[in-house]
Amino acid sequence: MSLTEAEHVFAGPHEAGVNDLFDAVFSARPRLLNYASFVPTSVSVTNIPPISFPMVGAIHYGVLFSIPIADFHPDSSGGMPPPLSLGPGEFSVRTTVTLILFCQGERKGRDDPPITTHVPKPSTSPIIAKLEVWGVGAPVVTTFAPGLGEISFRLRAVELVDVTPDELESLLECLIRMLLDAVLQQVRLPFNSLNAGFFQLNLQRGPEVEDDQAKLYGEIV
Amino acid sequence: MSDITAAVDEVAASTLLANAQSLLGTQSVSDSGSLGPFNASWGASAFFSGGSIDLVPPDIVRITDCDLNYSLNLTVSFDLSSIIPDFCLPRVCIPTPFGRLCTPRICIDWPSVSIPISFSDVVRFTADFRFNVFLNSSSQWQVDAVIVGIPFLQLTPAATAILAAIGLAAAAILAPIPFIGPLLAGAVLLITATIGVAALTGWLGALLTPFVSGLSFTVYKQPQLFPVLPAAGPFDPAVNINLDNVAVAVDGSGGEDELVLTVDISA
Amino acid sequence: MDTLDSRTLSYVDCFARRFAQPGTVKYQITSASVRCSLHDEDAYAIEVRERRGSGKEGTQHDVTVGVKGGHFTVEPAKLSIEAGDVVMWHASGSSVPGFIVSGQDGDTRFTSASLEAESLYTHAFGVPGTYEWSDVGRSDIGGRVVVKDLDTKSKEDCEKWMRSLTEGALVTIKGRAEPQEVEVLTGQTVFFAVVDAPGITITDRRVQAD
Repeated sequence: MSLTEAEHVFAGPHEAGVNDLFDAVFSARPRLLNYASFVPTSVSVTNIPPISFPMVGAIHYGVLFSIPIADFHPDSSGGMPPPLSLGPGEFSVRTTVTLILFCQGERKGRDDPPITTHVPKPSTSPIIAKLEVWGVGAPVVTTFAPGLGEISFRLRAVELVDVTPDELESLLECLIRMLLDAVLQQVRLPFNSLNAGFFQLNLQRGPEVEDDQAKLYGEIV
Repeated sequence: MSDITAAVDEVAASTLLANAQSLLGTQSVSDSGSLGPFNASWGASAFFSGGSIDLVPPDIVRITDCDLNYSLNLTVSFDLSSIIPDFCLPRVCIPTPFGRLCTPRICIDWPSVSIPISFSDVVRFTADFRFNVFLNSSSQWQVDAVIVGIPFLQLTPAATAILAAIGLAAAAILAPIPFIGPLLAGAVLLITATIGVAALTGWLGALLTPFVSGLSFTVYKQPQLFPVLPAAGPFDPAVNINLDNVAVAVDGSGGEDELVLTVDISA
Repeated sequence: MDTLDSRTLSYVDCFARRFAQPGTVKYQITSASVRCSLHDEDAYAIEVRERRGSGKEGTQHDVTVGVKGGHFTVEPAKLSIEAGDVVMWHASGSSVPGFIVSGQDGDTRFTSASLEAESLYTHAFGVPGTYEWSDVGRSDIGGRVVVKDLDTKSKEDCEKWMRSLTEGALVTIKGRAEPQEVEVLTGQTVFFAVVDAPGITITDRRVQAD
């Protein structure tokens, strides 16, 4: 079968090309991956409000993702943890999430003297946890006008590796799915980046994720 | 597999061609020399339009019935004495009140003349084009469809029309010249016969062929540092990718001939 | 249209004058476009002798006007004629600029720019059309010359036209032009013989600007 099939033009970025695009976007704009309440917004980090809790005040924290690596159907990532599976038209992403918490107050051992003050003592060393994350989802297209549109990515499920107990894993998976989905929604690739500017694409079909490509079909504007 | 694969079929390729023809715009040339035995100066401008595409694997684009639209201004100059033989009014003798008197023989000096004409026409041709992919001096990847050889241009009808136009223009230019009246028709015939359709066809071919020989249409041109996203504020700089390699081919293996562009990219 | 104007003699014009009295005639050739000359043009002489024999028609003498080194020349520079002879001036070719013949014949001044009795002006017509001519001075002397093209479709037509070029037409001006209208073919010559007139010009009405 021809590349263009029943339409007149075809654009098919390979998963390797999309990973290069992810690399370029997240390297230029790392603040899309890094969120923290303890530093102001810059090119590197997006400031988020701290968690506010009575009697504690502001609880500072951070969430940092590594550049996600995408894999288009069929699965060639090697090691996708069950129960995740890659269905037709889907892509998977693999990343690591680093959770940072600035804990307040001293941590006491059993034989240490008792706590005598209600004034929390700020922690100078954050607690850091790194988790491996797998997700699956599908690309989403937005068309503004004939020849003008973009592709972004949505997650439907996330799986963490080696978190116990199961309830904690479910809680963190929900949280990280929401956060990582939000990260990926901010990556919007215009049509002309998916065909290296060969033509102005009036999208009529796609993206169809198959054969390790995200395939788009249409006609020239 | 390449990082990005993009393809167009013959229908879309025709649109690409039309866009490329528009980008090429109008080209002009001017020069002077000889046309037959006469001096001539000319200016011509031309642009391309139309044509249907046939993609021929592995690397040929055949454009059928492409129109070369041209306009030309031609001025033919010569000494009329080289066309019309020496002509002298004979002595005229008549009886007058002062006796029979005679005027002398008066030889007529024919002037030099310049005959300007303007002419526009379309000549249709078919040609094969082969792709040339290169990084140009502005660090842009460029894919040109370059004509293979020199197509045949049927110019005899145009040359015939131009010759007729020269005749008409010559008649208008020469008519006011004193003493030429009875010689005018013969002079015009001599001018057009001296130039001749064959010489004019050859001249027209030499004028128009450079427009088509070496003709190339740019079907792709993008900077090597390709912009993906523009800057969106002080914390969101522009996002670019490197186009590391570009290749183009005509592929018919899928049952339909397509022009396929493959690109390798890196962050 | 070609220029019909006796005030300027071109290479298709002639000026002639009959000299009836013995004596020495002095004349000059001057440029028609230069009103004031920075130097005196050469004066040429015509020796007019007594006529020998009566009843004999006067002879025509031709003077060719040329230009050399920016000055007009005449050939022959000296002329000896008999009373009653006619002297005809004409340009040697198209390179001679427009000129005027002026001189003194006894007590009478003459000039080609203002034709008086005993003067003749000829013009060969090169462009077809109707030429309404008149005197730019105060007289109401005038007339019409109709110039027609011969349709030369064949070699015979062309030969017929060439033969016609040896024929001319005569307009006699004696207080008025007679005939008022003449018809000629392209290339033919009209002779304007001034028998009695107060110094006139023969000028196409379209040219009259002065």
